[in-house]
Amino acid sequence: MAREALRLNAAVHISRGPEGFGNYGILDLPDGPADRFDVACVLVSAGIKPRVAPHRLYRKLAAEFTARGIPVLRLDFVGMGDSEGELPETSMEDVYRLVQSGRHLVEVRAAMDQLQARHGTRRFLIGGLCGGAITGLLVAENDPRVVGLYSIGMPVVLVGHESTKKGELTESRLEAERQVIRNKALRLTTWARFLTFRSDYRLLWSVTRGTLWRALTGKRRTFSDAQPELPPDLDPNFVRAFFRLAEQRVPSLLLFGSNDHHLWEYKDKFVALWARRIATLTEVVHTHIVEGANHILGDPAWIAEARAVTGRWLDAQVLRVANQRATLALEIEEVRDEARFLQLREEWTDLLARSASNSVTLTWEWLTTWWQVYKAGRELRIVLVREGGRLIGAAPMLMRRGIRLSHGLVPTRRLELLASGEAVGHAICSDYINWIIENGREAEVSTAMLNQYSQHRDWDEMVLPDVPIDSPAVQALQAAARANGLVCEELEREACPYIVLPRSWDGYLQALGSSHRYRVRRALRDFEAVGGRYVVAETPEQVEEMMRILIDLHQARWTAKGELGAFGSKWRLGFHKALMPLALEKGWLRLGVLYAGEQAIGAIYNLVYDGRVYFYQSGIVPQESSTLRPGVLLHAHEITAAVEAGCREYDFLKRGESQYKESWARESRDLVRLRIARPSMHNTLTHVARRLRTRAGIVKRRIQARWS
Amino acid sequence: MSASAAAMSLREEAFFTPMGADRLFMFLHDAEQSQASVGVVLVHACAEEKHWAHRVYVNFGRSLAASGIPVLRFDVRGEGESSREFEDVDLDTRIEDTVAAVQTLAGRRPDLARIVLLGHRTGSMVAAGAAARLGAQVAGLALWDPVYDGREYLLQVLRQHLATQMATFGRVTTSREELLRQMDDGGWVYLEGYGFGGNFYRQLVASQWVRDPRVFERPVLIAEVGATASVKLSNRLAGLAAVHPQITPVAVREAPFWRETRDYHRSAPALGRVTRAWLEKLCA
Repeated sequence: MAREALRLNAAVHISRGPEGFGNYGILDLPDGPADRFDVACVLVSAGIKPRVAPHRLYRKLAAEFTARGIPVLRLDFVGMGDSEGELPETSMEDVYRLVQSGRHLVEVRAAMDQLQARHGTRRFLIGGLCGGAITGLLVAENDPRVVGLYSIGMPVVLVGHESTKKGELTESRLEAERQVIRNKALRLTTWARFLTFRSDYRLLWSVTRGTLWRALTGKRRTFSDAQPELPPDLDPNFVRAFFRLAEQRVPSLLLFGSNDHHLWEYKDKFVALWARRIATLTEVVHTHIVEGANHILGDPAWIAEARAVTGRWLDAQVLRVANQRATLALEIEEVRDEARFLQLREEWTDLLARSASNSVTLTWEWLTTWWQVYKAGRELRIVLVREGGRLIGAAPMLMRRGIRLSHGLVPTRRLELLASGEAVGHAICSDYINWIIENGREAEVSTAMLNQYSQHRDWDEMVLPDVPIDSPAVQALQAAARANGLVCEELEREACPYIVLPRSWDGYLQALGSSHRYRVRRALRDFEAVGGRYVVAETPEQVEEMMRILIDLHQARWTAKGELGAFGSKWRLGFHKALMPLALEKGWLRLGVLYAGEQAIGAIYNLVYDGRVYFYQSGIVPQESSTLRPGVLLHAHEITAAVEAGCREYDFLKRGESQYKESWARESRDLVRLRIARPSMHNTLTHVARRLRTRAGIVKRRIQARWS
Repeated sequence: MSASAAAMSLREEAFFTPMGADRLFMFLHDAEQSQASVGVVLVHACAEEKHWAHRVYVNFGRSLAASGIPVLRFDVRGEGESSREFEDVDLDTRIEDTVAAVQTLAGRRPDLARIVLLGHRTGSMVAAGAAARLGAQVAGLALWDPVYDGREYLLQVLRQHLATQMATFGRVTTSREELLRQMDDGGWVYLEGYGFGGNFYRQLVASQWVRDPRVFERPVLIAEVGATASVKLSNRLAGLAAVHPQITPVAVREAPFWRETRDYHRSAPALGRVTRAWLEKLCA
């Protein structure tokens, strides 16, 4: 039996209501490093049972939210679960009745306030099963932060009401019971029970008297003569809050099991009375009935269906509506002019530092340098998002002039990220490029940016290569694209190995595999024995000289293998010649050369930015002595320097075919190539072309294998 | 609402403890100035019985902690907040988790001279298994309404399943024999959302903890629960106590707080009293 593992990414939550009692909860978090969340979900305890809900239903459903970057707080009421305080009631009915009357609203609001304070959450989805559903509705009614109600088995009838105790059955319940009788009517055991006075005759009478009356008189008769227009046990708080929320255009999902009496009551005591009014609310009120299911959805198939519906509702209703609403207050600027781009340095740098995308390849310096070198045939299409004049988002995109053939077959107009899309052999390899969005604002800002691009019909696809898959901006962009009905696909993945730097070089060495540790120590010892020196450029003159050494060493090695080398292209060379002085000025450059005697045997080109070292390029002279390893020595010196400087990471960037990176680094993170497109004929053709090309590649390889 | 007396001086902490690739959710009830020599690890019942009994566990933990005895509650893997799903764990993993919980309490309160395992329903089987494995590290074993026979327990569970079938489909769609056959064949029977079957089923049925002499190498309190005043020891417990003098057998009048009833059970006063008295005797 294949089952999805329950998530592990969770944190303990404690909030306090006005009475001072601690409400315990667990916050299920989305994957990734983000701790600011614009939207969060609060699933409120169903009543007596703790915050996981019956058979851990909330944990299973929470996965649909966290997969979309929405953390889920599962909260215990005061006096229940692990929470503090004690309830005075002694009967279950009293407890349920008081939950239904809204006793715990203030605790839920306190938990929301805490999420807002700790995680910057400004918008909430709220709800749960049964008592959690009604509590969520009553909170949502008066709290403008709530952007969606998520309800399972919503109770609409007052618990313990006198009229309920009389045993009047709803029409839906009667119909369900009639079906049961029809199913059992032909069984001998049924009649044996009936004839030996073991049947529930009261129920049988309730169920069959209408049918008997019709059979005898030919007329339809209602037996609940005393029933007023409004069912006396209908919860007036529910009715008021339901309409109030719907009229505020806040989306609701009402999930019911078809065998749950709450559904029968919802249909017969509420929907039947307000059918016309409810019919006008179908855009915001979505009801889904899980066929065969009971109140708690106690079967894997029912849960799977509930999860699928939840996911679709989140994508199509909540996230889209909530983000669209939030985008209304944002100011958008499109930058197509180079001069304007060049003016943005200060704002850009400030925003980058406030984002989770803060990488050297997204600095204004890197991107403008790249633009100056590669701008031919390209147009800037940067979208900036501001709120009250403050920059909170930048999508550094460009558009290729002219039409390109996608997969060699389909004419395509492509939007792509700045610092990407260079011709083969001329690429700078700008890993970790991305959209830049202020922490915690990813959902609404990416929606606003995507809306802006969608207004233009002059592009067929948007390609974002080498974006980190666990980045909040990328996750928000994917969610926004899907919510807007766009196709969003991950085309390729590649890992970037990296070292989480310890506090000391010795500490790092201890964590290495024994053979690699031996190689490193031996190389350092032998280097010292030959009087080797490692020199790092500190002045523009040294940069110029060492760059020449780096290029010579690198190119000599690669051209000898018949390859172009990283500096063999005039564009690449132009980029680095322009960038290095800027990087030196900013204190980002680490250009080092290894000397054995007077001979340069290796050179390395690293960038240090925001506590992270990026290994960009190197050049070495392979040594006859197998223990004097320039490649090992360069990294050993640079990692030592990074540790001493208090850096937190040493990143080898994309692994490519360099297996050696894994002997240095235990951790890795994935970069993906993301493609977003309109669901058009063009997109279909692109898919067909991609398949044809893949197929052709396989056939070609087979032919080559056969004839070689 | 009134604050529990314990809340005034309690020091409580909820936390996750790594368990290989998984992690266990734990909740430590302790008191600021606790100088107790004994600590308790509470092993919960299984599936929905755990949920219904949860508040009783919490309040018993708080009341003991308020009198200076630290109590560690935890969720076994597959239940509550711990990792894995119910269907992916068995009796062995439950015992491993309990062993880890004992080590956690010993690590957090190294001053404790004795650690007692308190098991409830199937949690008693688990606590007994963990005590047998840990030997002298477990100074005492308190068992609340223990499940002696896994098969009887499962038959009870299946009876409820038939009731669920009746409520949902209006008839019994699968007989108890067929359900047992499904589990024998490695299939799953879902009761209130929990999949019973696989290893857990086989191990429950095969469990012979009452015949394991290692379980009774320490003082053991076995408290049987009945809802009426006429509650008395079962023959099984009386026989067991006759063989193992370390057993303190008691029959306690207490509502079945681990089942859905009309009453809201926040505590089990009679069980609490006998357990507390037994703990005091253990420490004397």
